[in-house]
Amino acid sequence: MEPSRRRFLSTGALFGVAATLTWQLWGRRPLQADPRHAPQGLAPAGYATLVAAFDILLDSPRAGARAAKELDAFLATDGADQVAELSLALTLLEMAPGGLLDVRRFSALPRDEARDLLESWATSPVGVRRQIHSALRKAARFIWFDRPEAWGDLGYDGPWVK
Amino acid sequence: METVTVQDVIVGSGAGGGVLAARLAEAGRSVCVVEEGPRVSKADFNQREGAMYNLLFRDAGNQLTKDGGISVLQGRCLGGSTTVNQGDCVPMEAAVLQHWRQHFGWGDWGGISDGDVQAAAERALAEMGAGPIAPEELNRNNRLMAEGAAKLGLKGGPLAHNRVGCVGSGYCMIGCAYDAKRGTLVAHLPRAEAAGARLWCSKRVDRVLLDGHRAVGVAGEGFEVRGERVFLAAGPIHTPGILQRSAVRPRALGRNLTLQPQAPIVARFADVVDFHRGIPQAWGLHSSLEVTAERGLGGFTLEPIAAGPAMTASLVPLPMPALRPLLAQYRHLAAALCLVPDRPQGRVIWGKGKRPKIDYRPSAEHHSTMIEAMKTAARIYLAAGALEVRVPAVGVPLVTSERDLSHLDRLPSRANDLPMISAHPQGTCRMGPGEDCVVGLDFRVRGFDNLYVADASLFPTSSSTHTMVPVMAMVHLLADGLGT
Ligand SMILES: Cc1cc2nc3c(=O)[nH]c(=O)nc-3n(C[C@H](O)[C@H](O)[C@H](O)COP(=O)(O)OP(=O)(O)OC[C@H]3O[C@@H](n4cnc5c(N)ncnc54)[C@H](O)[C@@H]3O)c2cc1C
Ligand code: SF4
Repeated sequence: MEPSRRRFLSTGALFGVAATLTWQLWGRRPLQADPRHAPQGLAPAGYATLVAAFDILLDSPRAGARAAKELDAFLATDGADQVAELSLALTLLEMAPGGLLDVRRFSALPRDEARDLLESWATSPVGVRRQIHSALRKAARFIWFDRPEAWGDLGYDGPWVK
Repeated sequence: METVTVQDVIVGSGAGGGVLAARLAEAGRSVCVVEEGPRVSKADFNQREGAMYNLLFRDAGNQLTKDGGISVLQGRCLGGSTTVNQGDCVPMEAAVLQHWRQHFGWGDWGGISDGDVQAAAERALAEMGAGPIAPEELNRNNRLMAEGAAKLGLKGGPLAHNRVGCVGSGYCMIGCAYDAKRGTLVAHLPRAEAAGARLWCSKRVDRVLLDGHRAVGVAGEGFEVRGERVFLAAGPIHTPGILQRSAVRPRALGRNLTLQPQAPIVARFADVVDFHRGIPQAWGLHSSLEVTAERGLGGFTLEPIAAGPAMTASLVPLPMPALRPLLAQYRHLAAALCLVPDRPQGRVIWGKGKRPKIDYRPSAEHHSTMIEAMKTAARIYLAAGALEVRVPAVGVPLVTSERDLSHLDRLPSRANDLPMISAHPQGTCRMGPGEDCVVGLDFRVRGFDNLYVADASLFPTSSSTHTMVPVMAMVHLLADGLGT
């Protein structure tokens, strides 16, 4: 190959990679999930993903936001160790819908699509995906059903010690 | 740097550390128990799941195996796991000890006879005021299983427990607010304290201080406890971490972990069961257990359990629209744990961080025994009149009749398909005479004169379906050997 042609192709390839990276980084820039709540444990991007996932796992945007807020507050006071692991898990989930040139994010998907994606992780052949689904599901449900307001529907009469 | 000097330093206040503290302090030794978890008492136990898991459990109940498949539950508070356990008292069977004598080099165990082991277990039981659960104390959840098993001709019976004055609230796993459950928090640590022992809580031991082949104390952030003897009783996940950080690293350290993974099964009845009230785990199926000198502990057992709304909701992997109607039937649910003893196969690996990697995958044999256990549980519930039986695993259909039992053959074996817990981790600092052991038959860490291990990490294989009394018995034998 002629040197000038080789240089042209390699410059072009470099440009392509740089453009894709920029596109990916821009596309995945942090979302501010809820302007009324600045997360304390998680970074804003991770928090946005958490709210979206909890919304689906609890089948209610209001419940999702509230449970996410509680988990974030717990992480801020007690869970420094767990923040890094959870953040990584949330990043994987957030980036799951897209491909190389596709910058769709989990937290910005239409609800049905997000639900299908998250539910597919429950039975995924990829172990890490099952692990993330299971951890998020358990956390969301544990937090939600630990609230006295949720007990009425179950007929649970609550603690004996007051 | 805060420094305390005593004769005996004990790390951990659970089944091992708590019993040892009482023995040594009452023998006139000056003792300091160093406990990572907070000092708690019945006044702290508010019967709320979230708050209590945070207060009492290691990682708020989220200590997981590496692949997230098994939640390894351990107490992290004064009294250790005995503060959060179910109070069942099941001494080690003689055949398990024979197994260790014949296959793990325990031989005559320095003259400790089967009778000595039995006497040590009896002492542990007596100290806790343990006795059998009366049939009339069985709650409906336990009675349903007992009735169903009887109809099928399967043998089981009420277990023994360490409750005295139990009011049947059902919250044993998040701390007994009535001091009825007599773990070390109630039965041993007050005795130790009365005899002058110091209980130093919220202090995490980082390492053992060594001077050649002698331990001279332990250290953590901002403190040191110096002593003539050091006893590690931090449990089978954390004792190997302390040794590792102290640069005491025999080849077998952290290996041979058994977890006895357990999985839940849930049945729905037409009438109210209220499985969350009364004494949980009060009845056990016996006929399915196999205990031989050749293989040790095998087979499986079934025990009814209690779970609060948060735990119940978190364990069932249904999408929310399908979960809601099931939870609306909460008071009609019965539930049991299928407990399948395993072989030593896992490993605890400590790196630089504060949390270990627990490397463990249930074996194929464990999986097939788990299927058998679940089928037996389902048959028992159906015989007791259940409308449906549910294994909380993704993709396993409901069982509503004997015909459906074959659904359970589809029980998935991949991590995170079925929620599994371990309440009985054991092994990791195996005791025995060989190079492949961390601790010698005299409880001393190989190569050290005065550094001992006194917890569930000693066992070469699974000791019992319930590990509290075997640990306590071992520690009594250790204390006997020290002449206290
Ligand atoms: C939920 C649950 C239910 C159970 N039910 C039963 C039952 O019904 N019957 C039965 O026989 N057994 C039961 N068990 C098991 C039994 O309680 C344990 O096997 C037993 O308590 C183990 O004793 P141990 O001394 O090895 O450890 P633990 O009792 O766990 O005590 C270890 C202590 O060491 C402390 N520690 C750890 N690391 C450090 C450190 N670095 N520095 C200072 N302190 C440290 C911990 O905080 C803890 O307090 C149950 C366990 C659980 C978790
Ligand atoms: S059931 Fe008994 S032992 Fe358990 S928490 Fe209630 S009173 Fe305590």
